[in-house]
Amino acid sequence: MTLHHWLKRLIYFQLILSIVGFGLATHGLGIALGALSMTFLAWFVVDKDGGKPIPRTIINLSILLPLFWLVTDMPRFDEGINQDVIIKLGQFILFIQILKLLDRKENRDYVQILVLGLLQMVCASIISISMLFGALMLIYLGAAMMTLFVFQMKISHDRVMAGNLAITPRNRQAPLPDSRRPDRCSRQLAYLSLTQLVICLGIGWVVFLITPRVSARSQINAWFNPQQRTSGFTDQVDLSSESTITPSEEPVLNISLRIRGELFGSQDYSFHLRGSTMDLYDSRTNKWERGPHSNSDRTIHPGPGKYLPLISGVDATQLLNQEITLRTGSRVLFTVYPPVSVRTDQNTALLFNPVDQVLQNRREQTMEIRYNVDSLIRHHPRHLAGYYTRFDSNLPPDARPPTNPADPSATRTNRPQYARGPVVPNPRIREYTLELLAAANLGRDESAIYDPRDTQIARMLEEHLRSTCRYSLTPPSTPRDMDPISGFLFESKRGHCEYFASALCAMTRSIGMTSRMVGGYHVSEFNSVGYYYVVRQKNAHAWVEVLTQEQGWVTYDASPPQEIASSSRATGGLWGTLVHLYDFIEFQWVSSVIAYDTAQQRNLFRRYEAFITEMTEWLQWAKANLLEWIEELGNWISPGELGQAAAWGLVVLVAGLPFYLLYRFLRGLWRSWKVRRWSQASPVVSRELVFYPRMLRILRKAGFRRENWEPPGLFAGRVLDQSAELGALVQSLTDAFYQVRFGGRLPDAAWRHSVEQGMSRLKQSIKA
Amino acid sequence: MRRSIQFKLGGLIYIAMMLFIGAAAMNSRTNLLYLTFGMMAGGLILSSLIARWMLSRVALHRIVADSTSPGHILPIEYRLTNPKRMMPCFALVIEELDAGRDGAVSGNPSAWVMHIGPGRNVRTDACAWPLKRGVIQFNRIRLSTTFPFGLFKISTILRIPRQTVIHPVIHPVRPRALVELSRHAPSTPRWKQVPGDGEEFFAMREYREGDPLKSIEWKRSAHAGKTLVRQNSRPAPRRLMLCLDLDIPAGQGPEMAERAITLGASLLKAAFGKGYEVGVWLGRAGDGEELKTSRDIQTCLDHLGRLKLKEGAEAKHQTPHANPTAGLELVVVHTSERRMDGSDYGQYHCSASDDDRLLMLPGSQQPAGPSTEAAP
Repeated sequence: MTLHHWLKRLIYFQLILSIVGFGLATHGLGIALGALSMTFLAWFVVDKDGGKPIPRTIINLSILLPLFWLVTDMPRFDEGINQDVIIKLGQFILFIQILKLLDRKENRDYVQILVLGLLQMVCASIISISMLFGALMLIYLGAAMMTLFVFQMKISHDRVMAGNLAITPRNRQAPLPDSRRPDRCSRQLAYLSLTQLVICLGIGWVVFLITPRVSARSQINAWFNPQQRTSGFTDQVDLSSESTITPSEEPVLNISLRIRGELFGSQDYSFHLRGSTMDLYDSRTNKWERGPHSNSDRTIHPGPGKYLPLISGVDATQLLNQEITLRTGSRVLFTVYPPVSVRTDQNTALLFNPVDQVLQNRREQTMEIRYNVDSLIRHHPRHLAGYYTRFDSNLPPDARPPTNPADPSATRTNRPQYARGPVVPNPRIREYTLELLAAANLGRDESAIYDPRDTQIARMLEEHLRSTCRYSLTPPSTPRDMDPISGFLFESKRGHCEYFASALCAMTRSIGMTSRMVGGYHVSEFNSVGYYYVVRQKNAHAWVEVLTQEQGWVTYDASPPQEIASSSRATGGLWGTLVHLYDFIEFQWVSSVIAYDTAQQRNLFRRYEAFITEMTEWLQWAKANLLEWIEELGNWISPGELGQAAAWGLVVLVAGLPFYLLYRFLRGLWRSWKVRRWSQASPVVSRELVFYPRMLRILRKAGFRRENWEPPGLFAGRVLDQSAELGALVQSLTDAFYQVRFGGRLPDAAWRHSVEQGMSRLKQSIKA
Repeated sequence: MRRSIQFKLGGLIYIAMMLFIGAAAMNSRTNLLYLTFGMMAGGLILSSLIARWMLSRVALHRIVADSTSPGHILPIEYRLTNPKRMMPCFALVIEELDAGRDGAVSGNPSAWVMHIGPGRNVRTDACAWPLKRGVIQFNRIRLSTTFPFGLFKISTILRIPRQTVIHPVIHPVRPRALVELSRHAPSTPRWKQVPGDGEEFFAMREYREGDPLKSIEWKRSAHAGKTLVRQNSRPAPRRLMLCLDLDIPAGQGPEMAERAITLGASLLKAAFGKGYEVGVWLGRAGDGEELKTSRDIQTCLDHLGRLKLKEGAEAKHQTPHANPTAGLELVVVHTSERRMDGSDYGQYHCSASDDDRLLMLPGSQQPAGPSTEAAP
């Protein structure tokens, strides 16, 4: 195979890798398959022997097409660079690459294809956190190294050829450098590229670990398109849009639960993970939002590695510790229950709102976030918003949380308006709810904040909605003259969790209860390999919290539980275990590579420093103890300097013996390997041939040194000339060596016996 | 041996790409790009180290012919040895740095080796194209590589001096010219002063077993008291001395002198082909050097190849005298007509402009008559 053919194959291989990588990163199976088909077509049409390239004019004109497509899409990019832009750029690059493949290719065209491929992988690596892509990227870099090697060889070959052509007279034919691939060339090149890849990976890893993560203003912070995020969890619920629940399997976060320091969780235990709460419904836009109390967000600085208590005097045995890793970054920090203390790995400030007990980052995070939250276990009598007293004094009166029953200020004249009042100005909802209450023999004072029957009422309404409405990810469109909540309750009776929650909230609040909408995730997928819960985009959920007198804010989920369970059901069986295993590995990949940040870097340095300090201390301790022990040993042998010297000698001997044995063992291995390489024989045969270098070693002691250039037969003859007795032995051993090494004789018992005898006689002769 | 490192355009592109990826990593805070950036930085460091390691201890041996002639390819063979135990060599470029300096060849030849395994030898070829008579001075060889990434060009300059003489162009000689030459040749045979089978007395020596009885000189043997035999001398071949009168008048180029050399060399070669013992005499034109007769045509042609012309040099015409009894014939080739002032016995004078008449130059008409092989 010539150099040119070799290069072409490698370039195609690399291009296929970049297409697969890009397809993996963008989940664009169609585009990837199309591009791969075009690549194979280009190989058969253009680059296979006898193929013809398409004229360059046509190629250049064809490039205008994707350019036009890109330019027409440009107005969409006014919002800034986002994920869409990266995908578009990647697709554009892919198109250009395919076109270049169909063209006639000079060296500069190969350079362009290589650079375009690298740019495409850069685009893909920005938008992908997948471990598969990471592995593919490594393979791509290895292949790129090999391709660059071969390409560099071709460039130098072409340069020499051009030089020779330039000096050749016109009517003569210039001799061309031989570009055929010699034996072992590709193997040694592969070894070299592998070695270089490993070294580069090592250097790259060091650079990766120690490079400061610059917190420069990132243009790519907004890369995650809000439209895509709303397909999963969102801190706003928009009932005007068609469907906002996605079936995406993309992992969003992992959560480990601990009670009293012990991990717990199982496939049978599921729970809700609170994200944001919404108390205000805008009937014009049909959106749930946070009300004016959002101005009461308070900045807190947990500091890295330390818990910041939000409530004092908490019983530690009643705490649920949640270790949460947000894989894709978010502004909202999720908790199972309202937090009582917080810890983050980063030195960033957080926002905490004591009114709705929502925890947030100060700004949108695009990278992985890791944090720990302690929450009081539900139904604890102290689990009430009013206990966040350290924030309470700074709150405006109307934003203060509903007081607890013990608070004497909870009068009718001074009651807070948070999460109260009708959700939609539709009296039909109130009438409908009152009808239901009457049917269930329940009643309520609509002006009171609390009623002892609130729990019963909320449970009844929850059951009613579950039994009368149908869960659907594609709810029917609402009539124009009707708001979506009324439409759901009275017309379609079909919708997803946000409709159910909105309806429950509207019904409870229509009769004077205090309730709010909560957005978050329904968590049920337990990874038994990593012992954590995995939360995916499809687990996004909405439910309601109702304020009750006895238990504070209580969760009510009107969505049919069987529907929620089926939509968030994890794969079981062996495949499910494999999925969990992959997820665990990918989680490690994401948390230690993709999301490696300043905090982790600092932790790493701290650990390294601690390790060094620990090692230094241990070495000092070991040295002091050893010296003391040797002194004692010396005194025990014989008091005085002689005893000390003997003790030191003994220690050196004992300590050196394992090293010596290890050295002998390694040397044996090395010699065996050398013989195997030399003889190109099977490992079994080469082990048998080890006797020959051993014989040479013995002879060297007797003054017979075999030169490197000297064949065994010649050497045996030389020994025979100098010593007849030794020479005969060496001759017989050399014959035995030749029989196996060149004659193809399999070492049998007779052969081994003759070799052993010959070796022992040789040793005796030398000793004599 | 001197080793140098040179930054290449490919290196700039590589560094630009590396910085681009670094900037993208910082802007997007994408850790995979940090890793890629680090790997590229590692590649940059390794690139120079590998190239240096690759070139270290590589031995190079050049094999080239001693002589050639213009218009013929001059193959140059390089033998490279990589004595390293682990590291192979890839994409080595071998460039002659001094060969084309004098203009004797069309440029500096270069060769390429794709791969030398550890402890292996390889051979590769390059070609030079001699343009004119002269000497190719091979001296410095640059052994370089841009492997692995083309970021740097690491090169080593080796000094391996060697000369190749480019002989004058030899054209076939017309039969008429050889007839003219033989017309001036001395008719009497010349005997060489070595024992042989001729008729002239050489010496007496003591009888050895195997000597024919008829060679015994009985009288002298009786006089000397031991058996003596007569030894005769061997007949010597004809000798032809080429005398070049290469004085170039001021204001004229060396073209006529080159033609004269070509003519002389062609005559010399033709005479050698006919069994002459040949030699050249260059007088003052060749830096005053005077050359003796040589039976080796290669040596004579080497001398003609090495001959340096002095343009506009004032030179007196000196011609060695022919010695007919010694069997010496002189062929005097002049650069211009005015030098042809007579011819003695055993001397044949011609000028450079006679080449068309005496030689079968490319493009000239092939004369009818006997071929060169049929002459004297």
